[in-house]
Amino acid sequence: MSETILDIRGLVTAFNTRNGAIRAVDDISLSVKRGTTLGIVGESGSGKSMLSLSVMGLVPPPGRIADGQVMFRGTDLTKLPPSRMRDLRGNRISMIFQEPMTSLNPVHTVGFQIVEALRAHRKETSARLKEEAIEALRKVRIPSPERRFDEYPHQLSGGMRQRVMIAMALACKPDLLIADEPTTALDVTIQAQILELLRELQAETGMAIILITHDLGVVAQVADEVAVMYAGKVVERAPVGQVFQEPQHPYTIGLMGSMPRMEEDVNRLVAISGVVPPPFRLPPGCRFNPRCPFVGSECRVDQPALAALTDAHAVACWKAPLEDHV
Amino acid sequence: MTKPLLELEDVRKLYPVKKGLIIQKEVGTVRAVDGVSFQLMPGETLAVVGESGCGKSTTARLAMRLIECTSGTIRYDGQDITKATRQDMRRLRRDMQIIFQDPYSSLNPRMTVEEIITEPMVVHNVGDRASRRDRVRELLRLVDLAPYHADRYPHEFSGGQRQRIGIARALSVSPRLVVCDEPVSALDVSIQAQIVNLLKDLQQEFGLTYLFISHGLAVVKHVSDRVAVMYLGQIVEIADKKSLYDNPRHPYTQALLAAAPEPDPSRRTAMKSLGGDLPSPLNPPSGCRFHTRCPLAQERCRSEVPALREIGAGHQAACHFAESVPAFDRFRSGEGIHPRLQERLALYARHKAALATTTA
Repeated sequence: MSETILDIRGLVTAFNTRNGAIRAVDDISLSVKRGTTLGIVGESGSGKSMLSLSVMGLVPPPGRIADGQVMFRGTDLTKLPPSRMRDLRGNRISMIFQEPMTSLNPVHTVGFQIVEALRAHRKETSARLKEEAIEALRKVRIPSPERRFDEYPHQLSGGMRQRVMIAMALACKPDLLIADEPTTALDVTIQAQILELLRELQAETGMAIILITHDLGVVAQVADEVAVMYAGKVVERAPVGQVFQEPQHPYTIGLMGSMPRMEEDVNRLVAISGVVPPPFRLPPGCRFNPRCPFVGSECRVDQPALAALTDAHAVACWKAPLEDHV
Repeated sequence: MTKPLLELEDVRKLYPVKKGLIIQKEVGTVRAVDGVSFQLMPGETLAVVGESGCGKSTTARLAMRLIECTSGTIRYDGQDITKATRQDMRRLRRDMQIIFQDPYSSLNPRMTVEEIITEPMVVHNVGDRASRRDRVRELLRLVDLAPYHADRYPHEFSGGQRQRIGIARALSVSPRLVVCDEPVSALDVSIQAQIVNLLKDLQQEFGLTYLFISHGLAVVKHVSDRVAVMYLGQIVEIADKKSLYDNPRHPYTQALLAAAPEPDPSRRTAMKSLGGDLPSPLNPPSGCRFHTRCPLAQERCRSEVPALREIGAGHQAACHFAESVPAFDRFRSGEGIHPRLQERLALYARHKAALATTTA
C-alpha cells in the first residue's frame, strides 16, 4: 500500500459577499496516493480551481478556508504559518496553470526564472543551480536546453512554454503536482505531447498528481481516480474505469452524453438541459435537481451526502444505485 | 446538377511584414491562407479543421469578404464577390451571416437583446417596427430563450445563452449561408452539446448552409457532411465525413485524429504524438509544408510541393504518398462506447424526454 500524499478532509472555502457567504468549495474530502493521478472534472463554476488554490494556501481574499483540513504527508496545511507554507510551495507541492504565457515573466529569461525558483528552496552556488535548471529543462524533453536557458518566453511556442512551466514546477522534485487545466490552451497535437510527458515524469519520480480539467478525454487517458464536481460539491468519486463504464450520478452520465465522440456515429448528443446555478442562488436539496431527468420529490428537499456504493465508488445521489431506483 | 452556394478558387491572403520606423522595408510575407479552393453546396455543412495559426478563421472571414483576399476568386451563388461593389456586397451580406467564437465580446454590452437581434434587420431594411418585434420573439423561441429575455442586457446571461443570442441575431435576416467560427469552443461541455444540437435543428428547419470552423475533430464529426483539414494556410485533405474519419490519407489528418484523447480508459494507448511544433507561416518549409513533422517524410517531400489531388470519389489529399500511407484504424478496432454506459445514456435520454413532455 503506497503512502497517502494528500488527504483533504471536509474542506470548506467560503467568500463573504453582499449576497451572503458563498461556499465555493463545500465540504470536500479527497485523497491522493504516491505515484497516482487524481482527475478532478467539472465545468466552470464547479469550484475545481478554488479547491486547488485552497490546497496551495493561495485562496484570494476575501476568500478563506472556513473549515476542514488539508493533510499533506501528515501535516495540516491549513494550520501552517505562511512562512512554513512558503517553504513547501514550489518545493514539495508545485502547481502548473492553464495559461503558460501569463504565468511566465516576459522580461526574464526562462533560465533565470527556473534558477529563481530553485534558489528559493536551495542554498547552492549559482553555477550549480544553473546546471540543475538545465537538467530540469532536459527532463521535460526540451531540445538543446543550454541554448533555451538564455531565451525569453516570447521566443518559445505555447507547447515549449508549458514545458518550461513543468520544468520549473518539477525542479525541486515535489511529492505533489497540481495541474490546473495544463493543456486547455494548447493545440491537440501539443496536448498529446504534454500529457505523455506528464505520464512519463510521474513514472520516473513517483509524484502524485492532481489533474484539474473539463475534458473527459484527458481524464480517461491519464487519471487513476476521478472526482466529478458540481456547484462546489463532489458528486461522484470512483476509479477511472468505473466512471467511464458505469457512471452513477446523473450529472456524470449527462457529461458523458454531452461529449462528442469520434469512434461512434451518434446523431444527437444527450445534452444536459439548463445551466449551472450561480453560487448565491443554489436550489434547495440536491444542487443538480433542476437539471436532472431522474429528479424525485426527495431531491428537491434534502441534499444527498457522498455515500459509498462499493469500496471505491462513492455517489451523492438519492437515486443511487441508479439501476435499483429507476 | 446543383450549383455550389459558395466557391473559393485558389484564394490567398498574404500579410507583408515590415521593418523600420521611418523607411519601412518589406522583410517577408506571412502566408496566412495560401491557395485554398473548395465548394460548398446548398444545405450542406463543410467543416474546416486545423490547429491555431493554420488559417481556418482567416478563410472564413475571406469567404464573407470581411477581409479582402490578395488573389483568387470567391463566388457566392455564381457571382464573383471579390469584385462586387460596396452596395452589392451589403445586399449580399443579408444572405451570409456569422456566429463568433467568443459570446462575451461579440455582443454589445450596452444594447438590450431586442436591440442586438433587431440590428441586422434595421441594417438590411427588413420589415417595420412591429414585425421586427414579433420576429425577435419568434427567434428567441427558436433558440430556446423566453420572450421576456428581449429586454435584458448581455451581462445577465450565461455563456451558452449568449451564444443563443448570437445565433438568433445571425438568423434574424433569414440568411442562406451561416459561417460558424468556433461557435462552441468557449463553452462548457454540457452547454456545447446543447448548442451543437440547436445548430443541427436550425439547419434542418431552415435548410441552412454552414461553413463550420473548428479545432476539434470530435465536434466536427457531429455537425459536418464534409471536412477540410488545413495546415499552414493550405488544405491538406478534404473529403466527406465518412471517408475522412474511416480512411484518412494525409499523415497530418491521421496525426490529428490520433492526438485527440480518447474518452475510454480501457483503451489507453500511448498517444502517438506528433513531434515538434507548427513551423512559422512567415517561413514555411520547402516542398510539402508538413515534412518537418511527418513520420513518413522522404527526400521527395523536402523538395517537391504535393498538389491537392483526387484519390477517391470526392476525396482529395495533398500528399505524394497518399495511396501508400498505412491505413488508420483507430475507430474500427474498438467496439465504441461501453455497452453499460450506452444503457445509462439511453436511460438518461428517455427520462429527459419524459420529463420534457410532462412539464410542457
